[in-house]
Amino acid sequence: MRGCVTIFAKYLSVVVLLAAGAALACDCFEFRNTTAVIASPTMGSGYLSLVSEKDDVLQSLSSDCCDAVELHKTTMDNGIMRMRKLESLPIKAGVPIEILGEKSKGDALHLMLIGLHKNYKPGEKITINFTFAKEKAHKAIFKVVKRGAAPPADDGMAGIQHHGH
Amino acid sequence: MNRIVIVWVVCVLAMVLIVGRAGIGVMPSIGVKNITENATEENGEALIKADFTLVGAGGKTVRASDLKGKYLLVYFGFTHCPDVCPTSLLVMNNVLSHLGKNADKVQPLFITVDPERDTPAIASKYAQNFGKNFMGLSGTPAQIKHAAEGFKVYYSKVNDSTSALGYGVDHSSFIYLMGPDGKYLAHFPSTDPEQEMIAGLRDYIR
Repeated sequence: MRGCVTIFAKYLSVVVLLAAGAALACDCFEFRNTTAVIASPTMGSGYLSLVSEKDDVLQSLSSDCCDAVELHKTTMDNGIMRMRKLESLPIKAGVPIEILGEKSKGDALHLMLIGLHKNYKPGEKITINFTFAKEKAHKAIFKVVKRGAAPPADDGMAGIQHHGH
Repeated sequence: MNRIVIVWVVCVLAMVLIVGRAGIGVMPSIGVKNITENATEENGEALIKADFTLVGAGGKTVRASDLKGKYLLVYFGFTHCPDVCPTSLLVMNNVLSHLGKNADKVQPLFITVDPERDTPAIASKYAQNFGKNFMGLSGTPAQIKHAAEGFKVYYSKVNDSTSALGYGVDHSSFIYLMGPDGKYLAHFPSTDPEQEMIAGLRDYIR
Protein backbone atom coordinates (compact mmCIF):
# COMPACT_ATOMS: atom_id res chain seq x y z
CA MET A 1 0.00 0.00 0.00
CA ARG A 2 2.79 2.33 1.02
CA GLY A 3 4.61 1.44 -2.19
CA CYS A 4 1.51 2.45 -4.09
CA VAL A 5 1.38 5.84 -2.37
CA THR A 6 5.07 6.41 -3.14
CA ILE A 7 4.57 5.57 -6.81
CA PHE A 8 1.48 7.78 -6.91
CA ALA A 9 3.40 10.63 -5.23
CA LYS A 10 6.25 10.25 -7.72
CA TYR A 11 3.77 10.21 -10.58
CA LEU A 12 2.04 13.26 -9.19
CA SER A 13 5.29 15.15 -8.77
CA VAL A 14 6.22 14.38 -12.39
CA VAL A 15 2.83 15.68 -13.54
CA VAL A 16 3.19 18.80 -11.40
CA LEU A 17 6.69 19.40 -12.70
CA LEU A 18 5.55 18.95 -16.29
CA ALA A 19 2.66 21.33 -15.76
CA ALA A 20 4.95 23.86 -14.09
CA GLY A 21 7.41 23.44 -16.94
CA ALA A 22 4.67 24.20 -19.46
CA ALA A 23 3.46 27.21 -17.51
CA LEU A 24 6.99 28.54 -17.13
CA ALA A 25 7.96 27.97 -20.74
CA CYS A 26 10.16 30.67 -22.05
CA ASP A 27 8.98 34.21 -22.39
CA CYS A 28 11.28 34.46 -25.33
CA PHE A 29 9.15 35.60 -28.25
CA GLU A 30 7.77 39.01 -29.01
CA PHE A 31 4.91 39.29 -31.46
CA ARG A 32 4.78 42.94 -32.44
CA ASN A 33 2.01 44.82 -34.24
CA THR A 34 -0.02 41.78 -35.17
CA THR A 35 -2.71 42.61 -37.72
CA ALA A 36 -4.81 40.66 -40.17
CA VAL A 37 -6.42 41.91 -43.36
CA ILE A 38 -9.28 40.20 -45.13
CA ALA A 39 -8.62 40.01 -48.87
CA SER A 40 -11.69 38.11 -50.06
CA PRO A 41 -14.53 36.13 -48.44
CA THR A 42 -12.26 33.11 -48.04
CA MET A 43 -8.80 34.61 -47.90
CA GLY A 44 -6.81 36.90 -45.65
CA SER A 45 -3.29 37.78 -44.65
CA GLY A 46 -1.51 38.33 -41.36
CA TYR A 47 1.32 40.71 -40.57
CA LEU A 48 3.70 41.07 -37.64
CA SER A 49 7.27 41.51 -36.53
CA LEU A 50 8.63 38.55 -34.63
CA VAL A 51 11.61 38.60 -32.30
CA SER A 52 13.05 35.59 -30.52
CA GLU A 53 15.56 35.65 -27.69
CA LYS A 54 17.11 32.46 -28.98
CA ASP A 55 17.88 30.96 -32.35
CA ASP A 56 14.88 28.91 -33.41
CA VAL A 57 12.92 27.82 -36.45
CA LEU A 58 9.30 28.62 -37.16
CA GLN A 59 7.91 25.32 -38.35
CA SER A 60 4.17 25.60 -38.69
CA LEU A 61 1.14 27.78 -38.16
CA SER A 62 -2.51 27.13 -37.49
CA SER A 63 -5.68 28.89 -36.40
CA ASP A 64 -9.31 28.13 -35.71
CA CYS A 65 -10.23 31.05 -37.98
CA CYS A 66 -9.51 29.16 -41.19
CA ASP A 67 -8.59 25.88 -42.82
CA ALA A 68 -4.87 26.61 -42.95
CA VAL A 69 -2.30 29.27 -42.12
CA GLU A 70 0.86 29.35 -44.21
CA LEU A 71 3.92 31.53 -44.43
CA HIS A 72 4.31 32.90 -47.94
CA LYS A 73 7.04 34.86 -49.63
CA THR A 74 6.42 37.06 -52.62
CA THR A 75 9.10 38.28 -54.95
CA MET A 76 8.96 40.85 -57.73
CA ASP A 77 11.26 40.21 -60.63
CA ASN A 78 11.05 42.45 -63.68
CA GLY A 79 7.46 43.28 -62.78
CA ILE A 80 6.44 39.65 -62.33
CA MET A 81 4.98 38.69 -58.96
CA ARG A 82 5.70 35.23 -57.63
CA MET A 83 4.29 33.86 -54.39
CA ARG A 84 5.70 30.74 -52.76
CA LYS A 85 4.96 28.87 -49.54
CA LEU A 86 7.88 28.62 -47.11
CA GLU A 87 8.13 25.32 -45.27
CA SER A 88 9.99 26.87 -42.34
CA LEU A 89 11.71 30.06 -41.31
CA PRO A 90 14.98 30.17 -39.36
CA ILE A 91 15.04 32.91 -36.73
CA LYS A 92 18.22 34.44 -35.35
CA ALA A 93 18.26 35.50 -31.71
CA GLY A 94 17.40 39.17 -31.32
CA VAL A 95 16.96 39.83 -35.05
CA PRO A 96 13.38 40.90 -35.83
CA ILE A 97 11.70 39.00 -38.63
CA GLU A 98 9.46 41.38 -40.53
CA ILE A 99 6.40 39.66 -41.88
CA LEU A 100 4.92 42.83 -43.29
CA GLY A 101 4.03 41.90 -46.85
CA GLU A 102 4.98 44.54 -49.39
CA LYS A 103 6.12 46.84 -46.60
CA SER A 104 8.83 44.40 -45.49
CA LYS A 105 12.39 45.60 -45.77
CA GLY A 106 13.79 42.23 -46.78
CA ASP A 107 11.83 39.39 -48.33
CA ALA A 108 8.15 40.23 -48.64
CA LEU A 109 6.65 37.72 -46.23
CA HIS A 110 3.05 37.39 -45.10
CA LEU A 111 0.95 34.87 -43.27
CA MET A 112 -1.73 33.54 -45.54
CA LEU A 113 -5.09 32.70 -43.96
CA ILE A 114 -6.69 30.17 -46.26
CA GLY A 115 -10.35 29.19 -46.18
CA LEU A 116 -11.70 31.65 -43.60
CA HIS A 117 -14.54 30.17 -41.59
CA LYS A 118 -16.51 33.39 -41.37
CA ASN A 119 -16.61 36.92 -42.67
CA TYR A 120 -14.26 38.75 -40.29
CA LYS A 121 -14.83 42.47 -39.81
CA PRO A 122 -12.32 45.13 -38.77
CA GLY A 123 -11.94 45.14 -35.01
CA GLU A 124 -12.41 41.39 -34.60
CA LYS A 125 -9.58 39.24 -33.30
CA ILE A 126 -7.96 36.10 -34.66
CA THR A 127 -5.67 33.80 -32.70
CA ILE A 128 -2.81 32.22 -34.60
CA ASN A 129 -0.74 29.35 -33.22
CA PHE A 130 2.98 29.36 -33.97
CA THR A 131 5.00 26.16 -33.62
CA PHE A 132 8.76 26.48 -33.25
CA ALA A 133 11.37 23.74 -33.42
CA LYS A 134 12.74 24.41 -29.93
CA GLU A 135 10.20 26.41 -28.02
CA LYS A 136 7.14 24.58 -29.33
CA ALA A 137 3.73 26.23 -29.35
CA HIS A 138 2.98 29.91 -28.83
CA LYS A 139 -0.11 31.93 -29.57
CA ALA A 140 -0.54 35.48 -30.78
CA ILE A 141 -3.67 37.53 -31.23
CA PHE A 142 -4.18 39.41 -34.48
CA LYS A 143 -6.57 42.30 -34.84
CA VAL A 144 -8.47 42.50 -38.12
CA VAL A 145 -7.91 45.89 -39.76
CA LYS A 146 -8.84 47.49 -43.07
CA ARG A 147 -6.14 47.33 -45.69
CA GLY A 148 -4.33 50.61 -45.88
CA ALA A 149 -5.63 51.55 -42.44
CA ALA A 150 -3.44 53.40 -39.95
CA PRO A 151 -0.11 51.75 -39.17
CA PRO A 152 -0.43 48.63 -37.05
CA ALA A 153 1.15 50.35 -34.06
CA ASP A 154 -1.98 52.48 -33.81
CA ASP A 155 -4.60 50.19 -35.16
CA GLY A 156 -3.40 46.65 -34.60
CA MET A 157 -2.72 44.68 -31.48
CA ALA A 158 -0.48 47.53 -30.52
CA GLY A 159 2.95 46.98 -29.12
CA ILE A 160 4.38 43.76 -27.90
CA GLN A 161 2.76 40.48 -26.99
CA HIS A 162 5.04 38.18 -25.15
CA HIS A 163 4.28 34.59 -25.99
CA GLY A 164 0.94 33.21 -24.94
CA HIS A 165 0.66 29.53 -24.27
CA MET B 1 39.16 26.81 -90.61
CA ASN B 2 38.89 30.45 -89.57
CA ARG B 3 36.31 31.06 -92.28
CA ILE B 4 34.20 28.25 -90.93
CA VAL B 5 34.32 29.77 -87.46
CA ILE B 6 33.34 33.20 -88.82
CA VAL B 7 30.45 31.71 -90.80
CA TRP B 8 29.27 29.95 -87.64
CA VAL B 9 29.46 33.12 -85.57
CA VAL B 10 27.53 35.06 -88.20
CA CYS B 11 24.88 32.33 -88.36
CA VAL B 12 24.50 32.21 -84.58
CA LEU B 13 24.24 36.01 -84.36
CA ALA B 14 21.64 36.04 -87.10
CA MET B 15 19.62 33.37 -85.28
CA VAL B 16 19.82 35.33 -82.04
CA LEU B 17 18.60 38.46 -83.79
CA ILE B 18 15.74 36.67 -85.52
CA VAL B 19 14.62 34.86 -82.39
CA GLY B 20 14.99 38.01 -80.29
CA ARG B 21 12.91 40.01 -82.75
CA ALA B 22 10.22 37.36 -82.97
CA GLY B 23 10.30 37.11 -79.21
CA ILE B 24 8.74 40.57 -78.90
CA GLY B 25 5.66 39.25 -80.60
CA VAL B 26 5.31 35.83 -79.08
CA MET B 27 7.04 35.90 -75.70
CA PRO B 28 5.37 38.51 -73.55
CA SER B 29 6.82 36.83 -70.49
CA ILE B 30 10.36 38.07 -70.95
CA GLY B 31 11.34 41.65 -70.32
CA VAL B 32 7.81 42.92 -69.92
CA LYS B 33 8.90 46.46 -69.25
CA ASN B 34 11.17 46.62 -72.27
CA ILE B 35 8.47 45.27 -74.49
CA THR B 36 6.00 47.84 -73.29
CA GLU B 37 8.54 50.60 -73.75
CA ASN B 38 8.88 49.49 -77.35
CA ALA B 39 5.15 49.20 -77.58
CA THR B 40 4.56 52.05 -79.97
CA GLU B 41 7.56 51.57 -82.20
CA GLU B 42 6.25 49.57 -85.08
CA ASN B 43 4.52 51.94 -87.51
CA GLY B 44 3.09 53.77 -84.54
CA GLU B 45 0.92 50.71 -83.94
CA ALA B 46 0.75 49.90 -80.23
CA LEU B 47 1.61 46.33 -79.40
CA ILE B 48 -0.31 46.53 -76.14
CA LYS B 49 -3.99 46.60 -76.82
CA ALA B 50 -7.24 46.27 -74.96
CA ASP B 51 -8.74 43.45 -76.97
CA PHE B 52 -10.98 41.24 -74.90
CA THR B 53 -14.36 39.64 -74.50
CA LEU B 54 -14.82 38.76 -70.83
CA VAL B 55 -17.59 38.16 -68.34
CA GLY B 56 -18.55 40.54 -65.55
CA ALA B 57 -21.18 40.81 -62.83
CA GLY B 58 -24.40 38.94 -63.46
CA GLY B 59 -22.74 36.92 -66.23
CA LYS B 60 -22.79 39.92 -68.54
CA THR B 61 -20.39 39.87 -71.48
CA VAL B 62 -18.01 42.83 -71.42
CA ARG B 63 -16.03 43.64 -74.54
CA ALA B 64 -13.22 46.18 -74.75
CA SER B 65 -15.30 47.95 -77.41
CA ASP B 66 -18.15 48.37 -74.88
CA LEU B 67 -15.84 50.51 -72.74
CA LYS B 68 -14.66 52.88 -75.49
CA GLY B 69 -15.03 56.50 -74.51
CA LYS B 70 -13.54 55.86 -71.08
CA TYR B 71 -9.95 55.67 -70.02
CA LEU B 72 -9.21 52.21 -68.66
CA LEU B 73 -7.01 51.54 -65.64
CA VAL B 74 -6.32 47.83 -65.79
CA TYR B 75 -4.77 45.36 -63.36
CA PHE B 76 -4.40 41.61 -63.84
CA GLY B 77 -4.32 39.54 -60.64
CA PHE B 78 -6.24 36.87 -58.72
CA THR B 79 -8.30 36.78 -55.57
CA HIS B 80 -6.13 34.16 -53.81
CA CYS B 81 -3.26 36.64 -53.87
CA PRO B 82 -3.71 38.33 -50.50
CA ASP B 83 -0.92 40.89 -50.54
CA VAL B 84 0.35 42.25 -53.86
CA CYS B 85 -2.98 42.19 -55.75
CA PRO B 86 -5.18 43.93 -53.17
CA THR B 87 -2.43 46.45 -52.51
CA SER B 88 -2.26 47.24 -56.23
CA LEU B 89 -6.03 47.68 -56.44
CA LEU B 90 -5.97 49.88 -53.37
CA VAL B 91 -3.27 51.97 -55.04
CA MET B 92 -5.51 52.31 -58.11
CA ASN B 93 -8.32 53.57 -55.92
CA ASN B 94 -6.04 55.98 -54.03
CA VAL B 95 -4.56 57.34 -57.24
CA LEU B 96 -8.01 57.88 -58.78
CA SER B 97 -9.14 59.74 -55.68
CA HIS B 98 -6.49 62.36 -56.47
CA LEU B 99 -7.79 63.04 -59.97
CA GLY B 100 -10.90 64.91 -58.88
CA LYS B 101 -13.65 64.98 -61.52
CA ASN B 102 -11.33 63.43 -64.07
CA ALA B 103 -11.64 60.17 -62.15
CA ASP B 104 -15.15 59.88 -63.64
CA LYS B 105 -13.54 59.47 -67.05
CA VAL B 106 -11.74 56.32 -65.88
CA GLN B 107 -13.07 52.77 -65.70
CA PRO B 108 -10.93 50.71 -63.27
CA LEU B 109 -10.73 47.04 -64.30
CA PHE B 110 -9.56 43.96 -62.43
CA ILE B 111 -9.04 40.98 -64.74
CA THR B 112 -8.37 37.63 -63.10
CA VAL B 113 -5.55 35.38 -64.21
CA ASP B 114 -7.16 32.54 -62.26
CA PRO B 115 -10.40 31.80 -64.12
CA GLU B 116 -10.59 28.34 -62.50
CA ARG B 117 -11.28 29.76 -59.06
CA ASP B 118 -12.36 33.31 -59.82
CA THR B 119 -15.78 33.07 -61.40
CA PRO B 120 -17.21 36.30 -62.84
CA ALA B 121 -19.27 36.69 -59.64
CA ILE B 122 -16.20 36.29 -57.41
CA ALA B 123 -14.01 38.56 -59.54
CA SER B 124 -16.66 41.25 -59.69
CA LYS B 125 -17.48 41.17 -55.98
CA TYR B 126 -13.79 41.24 -55.14
CA ALA B 127 -13.12 44.25 -57.37
CA GLN B 128 -15.97 46.19 -55.85
CA ASN B 129 -14.26 46.00 -52.45
CA PHE B 130 -11.81 48.55 -53.80
CA GLY B 131 -14.26 51.06 -55.25
CA LYS B 132 -17.90 51.13 -56.31
CA ASN B 133 -17.11 51.55 -60.00
CA PHE B 134 -14.37 48.90 -60.04
CA MET B 135 -15.26 46.20 -62.54
CA GLY B 136 -14.00 42.64 -61.99
CA LEU B 137 -13.85 40.40 -65.04
CA SER B 138 -13.32 36.71 -65.59
CA GLY B 139 -14.13 34.34 -68.43
CA THR B 140 -13.09 31.07 -69.94
CA PRO B 141 -9.38 30.23 -69.78
CA ALA B 142 -9.23 31.01 -73.51
CA GLN B 143 -10.86 34.42 -73.02
CA ILE B 144 -8.43 35.28 -70.19
CA LYS B 145 -5.49 34.14 -72.29
CA HIS B 146 -6.59 36.35 -75.16
CA ALA B 147 -7.06 39.38 -72.89
CA ALA B 148 -3.64 38.84 -71.26
CA GLU B 149 -1.98 38.51 -74.66
CA GLY B 150 -3.46 41.84 -75.67
CA PHE B 151 -1.86 43.54 -72.68
CA LYS B 152 1.35 41.46 -72.97
CA VAL B 153 0.66 40.19 -69.47
CA TYR B 154 2.56 37.11 -68.41
CA TYR B 155 0.85 34.63 -66.11
CA SER B 156 1.58 31.06 -65.21
CA LYS B 157 -0.14 28.60 -62.93
CA VAL B 158 2.31 27.07 -60.43
CA ASN B 159 1.23 23.90 -58.65
CA ASP B 160 2.20 23.44 -55.00
CA SER B 161 0.85 20.25 -53.45
CA THR B 162 2.30 21.24 -50.05
CA SER B 163 0.10 24.36 -49.87
CA ALA B 164 -3.58 24.35 -48.96
CA LEU B 165 -4.00 26.63 -51.97
CA GLY B 166 -3.02 23.81 -54.33
CA TYR B 167 -1.60 26.32 -56.79
CA GLY B 168 -0.69 29.95 -57.20
CA VAL B 169 -0.41 32.12 -60.28
CA ASP B 170 2.76 34.04 -61.09
CA HIS B 171 1.81 37.15 -63.01
CA SER B 172 2.94 40.55 -64.27
CA SER B 173 2.02 43.20 -61.75
CA PHE B 174 1.53 46.36 -63.82
CA ILE B 175 -1.23 48.92 -63.89
CA TYR B 176 -2.09 49.85 -67.48
CA LEU B 177 -3.65 53.08 -68.66
CA MET B 178 -5.53 52.86 -71.94
CA GLY B 179 -7.07 55.81 -73.77
CA PRO B 180 -10.76 56.39 -74.52
CA ASP B 181 -10.03 55.05 -78.02
CA GLY B 182 -8.79 51.79 -76.45
CA LYS B 183 -5.17 52.52 -77.29
CA TYR B 184 -2.24 52.07 -74.93
CA LEU B 185 -1.05 55.19 -73.12
CA ALA B 186 1.14 54.12 -70.21
CA HIS B 187 1.86 51.46 -67.64
CA PHE B 188 3.18 51.60 -64.10
CA PRO B 189 4.77 48.89 -61.99
CA SER B 190 2.27 48.29 -59.19
CA THR B 191 5.03 49.01 -56.68
CA ASP B 192 5.63 52.55 -58.04
CA PRO B 193 5.09 55.31 -55.49
CA GLU B 194 1.53 56.61 -55.71
CA GLN B 195 2.71 60.18 -56.33
CA GLU B 196 4.50 59.09 -59.52
CA MET B 197 1.39 57.32 -60.73
CA ILE B 198 -0.79 60.32 -59.96
CA ALA B 199 1.58 62.61 -61.87
CA GLY B 200 1.63 60.12 -64.75
CA LEU B 201 -2.15 59.88 -64.96
CA ARG B 202 -2.54 63.65 -64.79
CA ASP B 203 -0.35 63.92 -67.89
CA TYR B 204 -2.80 61.82 -69.86
CA ILE B 205 -6.21 62.36 -68.35
CA ARG B 206 -7.36 65.92 -68.87
